[in-house]
Order: sequence, then C-alpha cells, then structure tokens
Amino acid sequence: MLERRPNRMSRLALLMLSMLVLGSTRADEPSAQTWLENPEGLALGQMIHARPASSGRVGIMNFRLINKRGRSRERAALMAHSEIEGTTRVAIYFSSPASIQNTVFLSHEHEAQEDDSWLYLPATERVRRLPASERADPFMGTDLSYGDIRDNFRFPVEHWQFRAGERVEEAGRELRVLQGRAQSSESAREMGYGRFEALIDETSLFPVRIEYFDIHDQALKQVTVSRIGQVGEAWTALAFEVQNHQTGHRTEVFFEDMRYVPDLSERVFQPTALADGLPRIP
Amino acid sequence: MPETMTPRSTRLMPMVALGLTLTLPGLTGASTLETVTQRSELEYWIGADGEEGRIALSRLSFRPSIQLRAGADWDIDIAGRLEAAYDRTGLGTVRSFSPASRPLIDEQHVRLDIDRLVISRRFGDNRLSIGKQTVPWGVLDGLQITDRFDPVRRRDFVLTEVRPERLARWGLRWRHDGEGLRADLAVAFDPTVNQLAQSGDRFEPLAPRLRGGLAAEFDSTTIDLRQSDRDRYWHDATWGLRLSHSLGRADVSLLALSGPDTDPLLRLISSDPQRPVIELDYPRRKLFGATLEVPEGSRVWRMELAHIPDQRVNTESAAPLSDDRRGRTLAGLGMDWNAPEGWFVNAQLALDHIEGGRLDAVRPRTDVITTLRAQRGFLQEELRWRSELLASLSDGDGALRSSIEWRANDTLSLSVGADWLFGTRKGLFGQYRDASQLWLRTRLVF
Repeated sequence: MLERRPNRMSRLALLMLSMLVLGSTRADEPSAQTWLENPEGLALGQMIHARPASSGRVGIMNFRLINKRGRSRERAALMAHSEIEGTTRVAIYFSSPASIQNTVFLSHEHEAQEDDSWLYLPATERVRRLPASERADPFMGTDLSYGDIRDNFRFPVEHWQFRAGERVEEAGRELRVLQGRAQSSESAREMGYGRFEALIDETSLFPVRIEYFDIHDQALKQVTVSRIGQVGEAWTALAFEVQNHQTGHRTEVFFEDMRYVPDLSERVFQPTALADGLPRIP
Repeated sequence: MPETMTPRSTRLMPMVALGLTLTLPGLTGASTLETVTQRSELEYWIGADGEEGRIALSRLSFRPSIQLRAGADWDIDIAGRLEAAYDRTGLGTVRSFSPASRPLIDEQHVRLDIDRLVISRRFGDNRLSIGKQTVPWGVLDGLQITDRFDPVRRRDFVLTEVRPERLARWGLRWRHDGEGLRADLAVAFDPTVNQLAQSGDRFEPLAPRLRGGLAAEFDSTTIDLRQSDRDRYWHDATWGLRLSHSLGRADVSLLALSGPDTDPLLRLISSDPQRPVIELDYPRRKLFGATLEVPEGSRVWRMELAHIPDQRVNTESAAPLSDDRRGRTLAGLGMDWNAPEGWFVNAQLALDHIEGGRLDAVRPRTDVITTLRAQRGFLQEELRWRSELLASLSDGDGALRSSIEWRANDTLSLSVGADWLFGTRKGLFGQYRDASQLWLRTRLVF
C-alpha cells in the first residue's frame, strides 16, 4: 500500500495549526505544561505568606546603591512599619544625604482595595499624593521594587503557584528549596517576575536567598538575606542584598536599632504629618 | 545702590524674633535644643541669551537651614538665603516686601534674607506655628487657582525648578489633624506681595495686560512707577481657613481667604504730563475655593475651583488706568500619570475667567493655560531628564523647557537646560521672547 503523502494544502494546515498551538503558549510562561504546583509547596508558600507580622516596628534603614562601575551612594532613613487589620503601612523618612534630607515616602497597602502612597519633597513644601506604582517599578532608585518593599519577603499567594523541592544544607543550616511561578501572565507583568527559586529557612519561614526571573525567563535579580532578627513576634530581615543581573547594579540594605513599638502613633502614618519632619518615637 | 533703606528698628525685628525663638522653649521648661537636621545648599546658576549668546544670568546662592527640637513638643525651623548676582536678571525688587520681611543685607548685587524662622508647638492633635513661614495650599503644580495665600517670586518669571517660588511671611498658623476633619487656619500679619523683577531687568512685566493697558514704551524713564506702602501690618493682613476631609479614597478641601491681592493693580497718582506717577496697588480681595484629589490606578486626578467676587482689574477707557471690581472664577484640572518604562507625566489645564462689564478689562476675559511635563530617571536616578511645555492657549504663546541633571555623587549635581519662550510681545509668555536661554546649574548640597 502506498503511504499517503500530505499534499501542499494539508501541510499548510498543519503549519497553521502548529503556529496556533505555539502561539497560545506565551513566551512569558516557560515550560507551562511541565510546571506543576505540589501540596507541600503550596503549604510552605501559605505559611510564609501568613508569617506573623509586627503591629509596629521602627529602625534606621541604610541603603548602599552600587553601580556596575563599583561607585556607591548611600542613603539613611528612619523606617516605621506596621501591619494592622489587612493594612500594611510603611513610612520612610530620609535623613541623609543632605540632598534628600526630610524627603518622606508613605504608603498604605490594603488587602481589599488599591494602595495609597504619598511623597513629601521639602523643596515643594507640599505632601503629594502619588499614583499607584506598578509593583515592578524600582523603589527610590534602588534595585528593590515597590512590590519587594510591601511584601517584606513574603510571596503573595494570589500571585504565585508553589512547588517545594528537596532539602539542602548550606552553611550548617538545612534549607528547603521553594520554587514559584506566576499564577498568570498578568500577575507576572504586575510583579515583574515570571518565576523564582528560593531557599527557605523553615524555622523562621524566611527566605535566605531568592533568584528571580523576569517575564521572559531571564535571570533578573538575586536577593540574599544575610541577617534576620525577631522584632516582637515577627521575623524581619536586618541585612540583605539585591543584585540585579541585567543592569549590574547592586543594593545593600541593613537596619540599625530595629525595635518593636506596638503602640506606634497614628501620626507617623498620617500624610498631613509628613511635612512636620522626623516623628518623635518614644 | 540698594533699592530701599530699611529703618534700624525694623532690621532688628528679625534678630529679636530669632532670639525669642531660640529661648522660648527653654522659658517654658522644655529641655535643651537638639539638632534634628542641618543642611546647606550652594548653587551657581549661569545662563546665556539664546540669540546673542550674552551672559544674562549669573547668580550664586547659599541657603543654610537647620531644624531644632526641644523636648516632646517644640520644633524650630530656621533657613537663610545669601544671594549674589551680577547679571541682567537681577535679584528682584524688594519694594513689594514689608519692612519686616526685607533683606537683612540689601546691596546692589548681594542680599541676605531670612527664608524661614518658625517655632511650633504641638498640643495633642493641634499644632501652632509662629514666625516667618509659608502656607502652601492647593493641589495643582504651579497653577495658582486656590494656592493664593503666599506671595511668590517672579524675578525669573516661571523659569524656576520648583513653582511657585513661595515667599515666607510673618504670621501664625494653627493646624488640627483630627480623625476626620482637618483644619488649617493661617494669618499673615505681613503685607508682602509678589516679588517682581526690577525695572529694566529681563523679566520686568512688559505686556500691556500686566501694565494697566500701558504700552511697553512707557518705562521708568517716562513714568514714575511706585509701590504702595507695604507697612500696614494689621490692615493688610491676610487670613485664610482651609478645611479638609477624606471622601472614600479622595481628599476634598474647602477654603476661604482674604487679603491684599498679590498681583498689582496700576493706579494713576499724578498725571503730570512731564512724568506721570503710577502706583502699584494691591487692593484686598476675598477668595472661596475647593480642591479635590482622586487616585485612580496609575493616575492621580487633581481639581481646583476658586471664585473671587471682588477682583479689581484695570479697564480700558478714555481715562488712563481706570479700574473696576469684577467677579473672577478660576478652575483647574490636572493629572499625574506613572507611565510605563518609568516615565512620569503631569498634564494640567486651567481657566481664568473675569466677568464682563461696561468697560473691557485690559486682560482677556478668559485665559486658558496648559502645562505638560514628562520626566524620567536613568541609571538608578544618576541622570534625570525633564521636559515641559507651558502654554497660554488663549494668547497663543508659551515656553518649552528641557533639562538633564547629572547627580555626580550625593553632594554634587550638574544640570544643563534650555528654555525657549515664544509668542507675541502682548502675551504672558511672549513678552519675554527675548529671554530664551541656555543655562547651566551646579549645586552642592551638604
């Protein structure tokens, strides 16, 4: 029997069908067919997301921004942070260098509605309401994104699928591999990340290292947490570094005098109070 | 020669205020003063005429400031300004300043000013501030719809980095930050009004609409232009009240203010044919306004509305420099947009309408002003590019500005830019069409 060879029309139809199939697999969803969430990963992701938060903490936040030529710039700010009833509030009062002294950034991040943020620039003498930043936008010239600041080393479960991997030993600690993949291309675009691979300390539920990949699955940045501490009931990062593989920039962050302030004054987080300068915190 | 001679007693007043400011917390039992922040800014700004390439601007400024704190409730904020200029732009007139607000040193090319001298005390949710201070109201950028409490500097027209450049005045301010309603009451016992360029300087107003209808050829050689007395501290005080409240995610405010107009009305004092005397007067007016600020995703919308029922305006008639009282309504709409790829865009539109009357006002019935600004940082904010268009749609003129700033390090920054002014000489922007410039600014902040 002669094997029936596909004619020109059927070859064209096959080509169009394969283009359709390939087209429906978006470039920003690498190996979508093979990536499967596992229950262990989901449980770990949820536990990290539900990690206890402090109702109020205050510390001096130091940034060092290092460009690819190795030149560095430093920033210091008083950071006040509180998480109460589904709203995370962060106020960052810059104290140095002198060129940005008294600049204040304030954000109220809500679970149930859009976030609000304000900026006080001393030169304008006015507190300015800011448009909602995309989570992926860089935060104040650092290699951190606004999303990194607000998530505080958690992985929002509404944006990620999780898969737990093996346990590995590093520097005398047993750590768990956790991989994440954006729930959808929309989530990926919003976060600026398509997937991550992290090493998690299961005792503190804190990541030790996170490797983020962009929506095109290119290595984007590595976050390395070198020191954590317990503030109130919550673990928080006291020193970490973000290395952007694509720009060659690096941001080092470390906190000093971080302390638990359960009854942090409401005024610290009031937009109208930003123009009054550094708040008094007992 | 300095523009004015300030009486010794008035010169002493700021020094007495400084002494009181530093000792008052101690007298009330507060602990010793503690420095909270301290900074100094040294800036040199040089500009050349776009057409002829001559140096038109050469200004050196030194601006130190310090914030002090005493105990749990007292705050002190002091800032000064030492400026030197040898150019055709000048440092602006101080004749529109009250004697108490005039520079401590006022030489032809050098001035020393107190920019701020404020002592504040907190009482629970209330804050009382006394001293030389600004009252920045309004939500739009540089478009003064409701933001009309403070006088502003106009010596550089609008070619400044931050607009408006506010002038602090002596007075008191009480603010209440309650759970819902916020109140802001301010009184300035200081009749200082807008600072204009000195006669003959680059940004001296020349358009007939700003000169009571007089043509540009009437200058200081043909007329005697005088300022009205700015020393009636009580009679020419400005007071204002602003009430703000959140409405869902929006912020709403209502305000009222009363005080001398900060823009001048021209009056003919003497019609001596050899050299007529004209006075720049600042009659009182009231303003009622409202603002609204609404965030919406990657945008923030800003709206302002103001009505001045008793605006005095110069009118066109057979008698020179006649004037009339009219209703004036101002409205503005603005939008901030966090555009993709790190771009920030700000767009604004404002209408300024004056009621008609038996005689036409020398200014147009309706001014339509628009602004469009785009900016972006590069290389972790080491470079910042900014461009803006300011235009009067009614006059058909405007200014196109572009600049790039290089932050060499945390202390030193260098900016270069170009300002192109276009339009007819009768327009708000076109009157300065010869003042288009290329400029360079060096700034040290430490």
